[in-house]
Amino acid sequence: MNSLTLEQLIMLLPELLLLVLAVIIMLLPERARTMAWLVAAGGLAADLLMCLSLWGVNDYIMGGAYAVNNFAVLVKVMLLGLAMLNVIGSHDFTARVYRAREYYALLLMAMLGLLIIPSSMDFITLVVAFELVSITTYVLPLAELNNPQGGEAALKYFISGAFASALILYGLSLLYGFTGTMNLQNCAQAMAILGAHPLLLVALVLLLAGFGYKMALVPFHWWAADTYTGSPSPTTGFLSGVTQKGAFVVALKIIVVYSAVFAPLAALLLGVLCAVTMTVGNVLALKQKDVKRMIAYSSVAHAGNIGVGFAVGGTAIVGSFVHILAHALMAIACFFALQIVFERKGGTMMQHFRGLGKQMPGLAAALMLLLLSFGGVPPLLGFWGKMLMVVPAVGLGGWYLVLALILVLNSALSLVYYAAVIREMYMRPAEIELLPPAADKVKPSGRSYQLALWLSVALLLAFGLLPNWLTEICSSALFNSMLPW
Amino acid sequence: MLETIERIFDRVLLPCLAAVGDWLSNFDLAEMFRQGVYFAFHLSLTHYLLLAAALFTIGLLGVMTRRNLIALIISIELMLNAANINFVAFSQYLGQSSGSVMAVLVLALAAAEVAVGLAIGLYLYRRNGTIDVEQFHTLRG
Repeated sequence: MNSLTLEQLIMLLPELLLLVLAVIIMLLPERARTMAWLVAAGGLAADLLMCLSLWGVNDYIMGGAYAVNNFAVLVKVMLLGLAMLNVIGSHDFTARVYRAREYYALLLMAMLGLLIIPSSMDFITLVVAFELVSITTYVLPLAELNNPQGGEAALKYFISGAFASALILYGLSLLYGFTGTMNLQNCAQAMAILGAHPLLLVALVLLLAGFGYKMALVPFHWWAADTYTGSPSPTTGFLSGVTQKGAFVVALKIIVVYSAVFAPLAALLLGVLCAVTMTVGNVLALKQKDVKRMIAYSSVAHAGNIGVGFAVGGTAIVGSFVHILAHALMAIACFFALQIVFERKGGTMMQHFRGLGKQMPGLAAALMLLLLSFGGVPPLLGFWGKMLMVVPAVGLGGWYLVLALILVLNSALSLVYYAAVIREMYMRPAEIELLPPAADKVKPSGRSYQLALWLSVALLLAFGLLPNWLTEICSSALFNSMLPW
Repeated sequence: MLETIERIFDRVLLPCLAAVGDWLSNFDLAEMFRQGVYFAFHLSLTHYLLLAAALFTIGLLGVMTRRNLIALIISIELMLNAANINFVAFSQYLGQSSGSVMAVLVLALAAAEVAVGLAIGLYLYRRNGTIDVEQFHTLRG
């Protein structure tokens, strides 16, 4: 049962390919930045196709520790696509950082962990994969060595991440001791037999706190704004758009394990956390003068939005997944747009956005679409996720209704600060002149940022106009393979 | 009012006093000493769990109070080792191997984490000349 046959190894090919590619990138010569970019982007594209071909497979390998099913394939394809967007856009960024190879190799190793997460059916695999993601991303804020705030961003990310890992592992050790198994399915069954016990609740609180750190829910959000602001924008896109989403997948798995016994209590805990997260994130974002920091705080608020779907459960989880995709696309695109503004106008404060509608009409239009989507304006994808969470919550009634109301009110509140940026772009005259696009070898023109930005906006519009297709795939994948195991 | 006080005396305070009196009258120092010695010299699962809980608490307090990066990393290491002791103790108690496997993996994870943390600390020291985490507060608000 525990041996691995050649046919089963085929299911692991996407993961193995990433591992090999990361090693190959490290073996490239120091100067081969474009080559490293090409290998990373091409490798991720090939990986995406490989994962897509696994759609419909339903199998357990490695003695039940590793599952390949539609849920896993959906999450893998989603995360690979997002990482690919980020890598495509990073070309001009890595052209002037000191160690471009390491940047891509670390991204690929983080992706390896993220590919293992949705498939793992065992706490050991889950934790090791998640730690792989965390440890490889701790140094990403330092990618640009002359960025004065990179060190502080990395320091805060590292301390909070390592502390969260310790909490998670201690909670897991209690859970293991009490249920006597590391397997997720057996653990849920053991819990159903044992019933609600205070020690299980302690483990749940520790795990929620640990993953709350990684998901940037509110009492544990202090690192997120600093790390997202201090890192260079392409890195921030990866941290907020890809790694943070991996934490949501792990959290979903743990919630499903706990749902057998602690369903109302766990949902209530998570619901309160999410309501506080949304409100605090939005209120803190309201008073920011730096647009990058504002978007960082809005990421915190959106983490709360995504959690609402997990708390409500049932069909609202589909809404959560749509919103995970929507927010990841928006965050990646938005941080690339901010990087363009940073390079062409010298900063991302409010006054740098004045008159951007005249100076860079294309960029301003894309940014406006993104900000409206962040705020949940209907034809865009940011709306559908929230809609799919609110409707089941209202249907359930009770305190879920309050949660839905808080979500809707927060969307309205968030539109205030998004609209402020749009007003600065279109209603105010420009104060700061555009820097000329430096197209020399050291500082390329930023065409790759534009490419990634427009690709993301196009995806956002396409999914927003045809949401049926996406929600159907999400719901079929979730309900066929994840929830009843 | 009087009735209430009477009821409190009747149902709460007097039974409590009686229980304390019983406990005092049955108090046997030698027996308690024997039990204490037994607890101290016959290791059971409880001992390991208590040790792990103590280590975890020390680590938690360390993370909250220490401001030196190295001390922070050591505190986090204590917390991880508390989890490790739990894993090994439960694994031994349950007669399974998966907990021990987890402990070995946690050791590797902790080593990797410390390596990355020390690298970040070295970078910060070279750049700013300090690894006091309170010195890094340019990002706020």
